[in-house]
Amino acid sequence: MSVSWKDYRAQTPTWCPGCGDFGVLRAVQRALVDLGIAPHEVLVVSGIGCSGKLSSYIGTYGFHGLHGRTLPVAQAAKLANRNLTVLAVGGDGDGYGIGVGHLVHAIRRNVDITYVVMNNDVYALTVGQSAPTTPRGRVTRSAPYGTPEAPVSPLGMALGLGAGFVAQGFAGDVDHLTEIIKAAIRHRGFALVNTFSPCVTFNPEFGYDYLRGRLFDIDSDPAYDRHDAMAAMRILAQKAGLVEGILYEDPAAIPYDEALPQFAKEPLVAQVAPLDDATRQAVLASFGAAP
Amino acid sequence: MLHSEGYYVATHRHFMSLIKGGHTHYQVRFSSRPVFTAGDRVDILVAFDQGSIEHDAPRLQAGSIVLANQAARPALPAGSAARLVALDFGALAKKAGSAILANTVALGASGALLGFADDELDDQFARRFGGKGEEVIAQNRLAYRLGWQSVTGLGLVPPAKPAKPPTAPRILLHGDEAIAWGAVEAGARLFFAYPITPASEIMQWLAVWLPKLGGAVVQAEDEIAAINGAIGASLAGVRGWTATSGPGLSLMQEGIAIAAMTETPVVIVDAQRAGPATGLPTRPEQSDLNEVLYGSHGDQPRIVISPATTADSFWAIQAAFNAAERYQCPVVVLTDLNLALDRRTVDISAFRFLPIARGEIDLAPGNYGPHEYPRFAVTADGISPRPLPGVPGKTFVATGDEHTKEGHITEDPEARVEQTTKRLRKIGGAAELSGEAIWYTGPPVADLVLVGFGGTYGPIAEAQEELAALGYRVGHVHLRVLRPFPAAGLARFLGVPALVVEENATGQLAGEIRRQTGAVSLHSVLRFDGNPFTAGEIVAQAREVLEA
Repeated sequence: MSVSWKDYRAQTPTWCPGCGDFGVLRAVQRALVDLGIAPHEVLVVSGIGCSGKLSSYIGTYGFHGLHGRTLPVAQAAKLANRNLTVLAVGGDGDGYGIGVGHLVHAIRRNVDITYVVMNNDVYALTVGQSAPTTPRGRVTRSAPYGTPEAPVSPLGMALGLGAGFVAQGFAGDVDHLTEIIKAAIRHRGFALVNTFSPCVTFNPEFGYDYLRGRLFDIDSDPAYDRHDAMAAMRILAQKAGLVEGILYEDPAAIPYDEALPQFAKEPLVAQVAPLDDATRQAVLASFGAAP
Repeated sequence: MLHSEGYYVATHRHFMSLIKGGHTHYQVRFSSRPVFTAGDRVDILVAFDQGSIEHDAPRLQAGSIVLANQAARPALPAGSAARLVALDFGALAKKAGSAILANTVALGASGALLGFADDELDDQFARRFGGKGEEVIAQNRLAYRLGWQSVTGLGLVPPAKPAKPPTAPRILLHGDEAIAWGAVEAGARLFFAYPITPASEIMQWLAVWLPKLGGAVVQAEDEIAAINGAIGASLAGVRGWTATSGPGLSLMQEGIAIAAMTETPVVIVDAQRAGPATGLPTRPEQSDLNEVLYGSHGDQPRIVISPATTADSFWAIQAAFNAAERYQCPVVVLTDLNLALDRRTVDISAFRFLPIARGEIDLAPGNYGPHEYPRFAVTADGISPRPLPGVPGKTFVATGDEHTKEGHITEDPEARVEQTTKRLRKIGGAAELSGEAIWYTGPPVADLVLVGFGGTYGPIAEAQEELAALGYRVGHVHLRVLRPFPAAGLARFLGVPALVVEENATGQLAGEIRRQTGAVSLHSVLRFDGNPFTAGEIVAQAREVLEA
């Protein structure tokens, strides 16, 4: 069955004209079409914020859950039905603020899902407060005298935690972002794709014009080795995080369920049944069945 | 040993939130008939320190035997009618090979008093310590024998053993194990949880068994991840669940709301312990009741099942999965520490197996355009068919925002009212649960009813029997379903004064009964000192009410 972009179009977005999230949506849709995956075989779990609306705008199954809790839902859904392609999507507040604890453990656990973070350096849906990614000193509605904290470095953090796939894309470069997301979905294990997704309303200075020309395209650099985590750390430091492409990929990564030798090969969703008699007898014996 | 011999055994583990030190004890009661508490009296006490003797002295009586550690220079309190036997556990243990064998020495001594042979546990030791090598097995066998010999010939006359019950297939387990077993019988193969006393034993049992069944225990990073994992698993189509205690349940409150709003089934076991905050983490209490009934935000449908016994816990978890999928809402199984952790002998015939009933899951492929399928269709009973991801032509988004019947985010007042009322009417009377909501034991006409829920079943049942033996007409009403609250069913018993028995300081159940039934003639007996009720104190309170 051939899949087209139309199959992936759903409700009409309510994002501001020019919002970076349009570019991310298009890239995710194109990646899934290019990979030939039908929309009903995909689950998109989204968080809260402008970016959280993405699951409503893509014609797959969707779960628009709690703020910061996309990853537990997405990992569990994948374990329940390993035939599904599962994506978690959300903003930088969702992933690096309220939900950052889950990111740490999703990386450790390495369930085969793709996490696309739409990073705009600001809390936009709540109209302009500081985000965990907001540069120190920037004036926002919640920090009228300048944001006092240092911003998080999500890619450095992910690399430090041993993530098997770490990439960064730009909503203003949909072609490249599509390729990155395709690679992330193909990667066996947890894949993090941080995307610069400008907020044209509350953070216009950190917009397309600012980013265009400043991002170093590592995928076009023949000298760059994406299997070298130290090289990834170095280039992040050298370019102050302003890179675009696949920073790191561990082709030997083993997803969580495949690392469990007894985990069912067939999706668990097809196996909701009571114990067979032999197992039940073994359970009773373990409880000291007498006489 | 007593379980294998054919008796009904009930145990109680008293422990503190420490790894080393503090007072700890393990109590074993055995009987000719099923018992649900470890009892109020002590016939044989094994004491390694003087503190243990003092702790249990009030429960000793004439004829009780105290096997005490000689090194602790044991002494009975003045006036005690028990018999003290000082034994050198340490020296006997060293003689058997190591000081660590003192427990086995004591086991041999109490085994002798209970009429077991000096080689009674030889096979058990081989099974238990097989992995540690022949030497450890031999040392344990010797330690048991040395303990056995140390009391043999002393002329001790222990209280007579009760008659053995008729032989029937029986098992020995606690409520956490009954819940874990019930869940796998209900088809649950994935479990998401964060360790917490007294719910961790559920996780530990499943960690052994789920891999054998092709499933997995996912140890979540916190309880927020645990409940969201259970919801994600359920969304994808398996039976998602988690287990926790009060502190974890508090972290799950927002997750309960998203399950309710997205109409995703989820089962949460709350094994209560003494709160608030860390409270008394290893001690029993029933003070989460209000949180379970009223916690989380917004108007939500919810079912709460509260098993009374070990076998009932097995039923409750199966009923919970069926109800969660039928009504597409959160279901809480509310237990408490003693029920969760105290092992008891149960007839295998007492375990009720429920057929797996998954409610309205819609697996037929459709021809709907993207997000056009009416996942939240407004139906007469409020229940809307639920496709699982993977079904072609029926894609939808389940959103925590208010939504149309197609799951599109909306702030339309009409849709808001329609969807809210639909969600709230789904459960209705929960017909399959309403017949299970109340257990009543007692005379058709009573002068007083004892009312309780959960793990106080044992002490209340024993109190009721004692009161009946004293000639009082007293009934025992035990509530097993708390949402929907069986107000009409309960009101039928409240024509006479009621004594509400609960392990908390504020009378949460009594308050709920007042709210739901308007009952006025309610008395409370409360316990919140970190110890379980005894039948005796319930009897005393009941007599006060009866004779007032």
